[in-house]
Amino acid sequence: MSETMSASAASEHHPIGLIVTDDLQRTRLTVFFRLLLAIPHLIVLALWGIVVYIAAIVAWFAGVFTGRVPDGLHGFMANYLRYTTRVFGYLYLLADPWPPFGGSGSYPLDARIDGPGTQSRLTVGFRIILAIPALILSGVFQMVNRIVAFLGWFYCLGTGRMNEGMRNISAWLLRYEIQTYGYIFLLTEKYPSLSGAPTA
Amino acid sequence: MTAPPHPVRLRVDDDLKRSRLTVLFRILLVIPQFLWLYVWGFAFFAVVVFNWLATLFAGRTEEDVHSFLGRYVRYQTHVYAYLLLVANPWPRFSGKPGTYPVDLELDPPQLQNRWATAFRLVLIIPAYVFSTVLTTVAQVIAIIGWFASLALGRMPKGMRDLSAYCLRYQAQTFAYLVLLTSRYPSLASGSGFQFEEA
Repeated sequence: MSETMSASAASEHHPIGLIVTDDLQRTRLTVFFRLLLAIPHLIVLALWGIVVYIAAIVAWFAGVFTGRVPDGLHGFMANYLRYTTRVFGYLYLLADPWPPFGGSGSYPLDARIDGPGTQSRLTVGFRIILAIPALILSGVFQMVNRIVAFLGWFYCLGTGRMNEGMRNISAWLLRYEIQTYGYIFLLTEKYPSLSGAPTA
Repeated sequence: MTAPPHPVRLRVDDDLKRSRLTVLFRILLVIPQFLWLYVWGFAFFAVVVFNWLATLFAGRTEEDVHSFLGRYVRYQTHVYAYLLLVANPWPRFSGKPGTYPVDLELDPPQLQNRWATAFRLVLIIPAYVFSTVLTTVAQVIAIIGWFASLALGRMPKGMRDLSAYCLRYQAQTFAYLVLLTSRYPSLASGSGFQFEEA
């Protein structure tokens, strides 16, 4: 597998990254029922999301006044984002095993989220406005991911494997999405990055 | 593991610099190019149909037909690269290789499977869906990149690379459709994706 390479050599370090250790093998049975199997996770995600929404508001006030998100809040939201990554990785056929509940343990498609750092209070204050361009791009990427997953579903059922190109482009787009959400949740002040973009 | 390179490749020699003036009026400046694309398109379409029949019987495309079709596909790639801010200069009208910083490299014609030729329109569907979606991605990037280019005088590298990737897939799909190649469009990228190891 030559696609996992030179992460550190990539131009700059982003506090949120994606770790891919997936081997492309897929079980046809779980692929077939993937949407149904993901339902419990999506329910947990939705309920947990309500709490995270409140936590993000608290973190915003903390960030505006102190220029830093408290460790506990950061960890809580980072866990949620990691769990989201796994569930969507599972749903989009980017990994095979049924994800564990919560953000602990490991998964073949995992988010790496650095600890909290000091942030400019100004960019915290206007975070939602600043995030708009990235949110637009994220929205488009989400649509692409769904279409890749839809076509990939047939591919997996036919071959018992996920197509490498599909997996890679989809994972790469997902990385941008989680960086965007990490930016909005104040997990990092670094803007979502298109670096490591697939080249022609 | 490493498959032979795809017969349709995109070469990017662009230096990311953009002149603000032509970026500002890009949509207007591209109009003549689109008119030429449209007019040339009639001849192109006729040749595509003729070539489809010829390839169906002969199992391969004629050399000059291949280069005629290739020039149109290349020219279209130049025009889109210009419009989507993947490159800066105004494209030439010729579609000749080596005339634009974002260029299409095409291998000479190969033998093609007759069945795959006959059912090309059906086979293309999944790639066509992808191609449409990726074109949308490139368009959204062009809108955001338009502001970035106007402000900075250069295009951010990540945006340019992603757009070029979309453009390459689009060109490969188009080339596959018009029988320039029998190789299916590929989502794998030239230098790979950068993910992290555990």
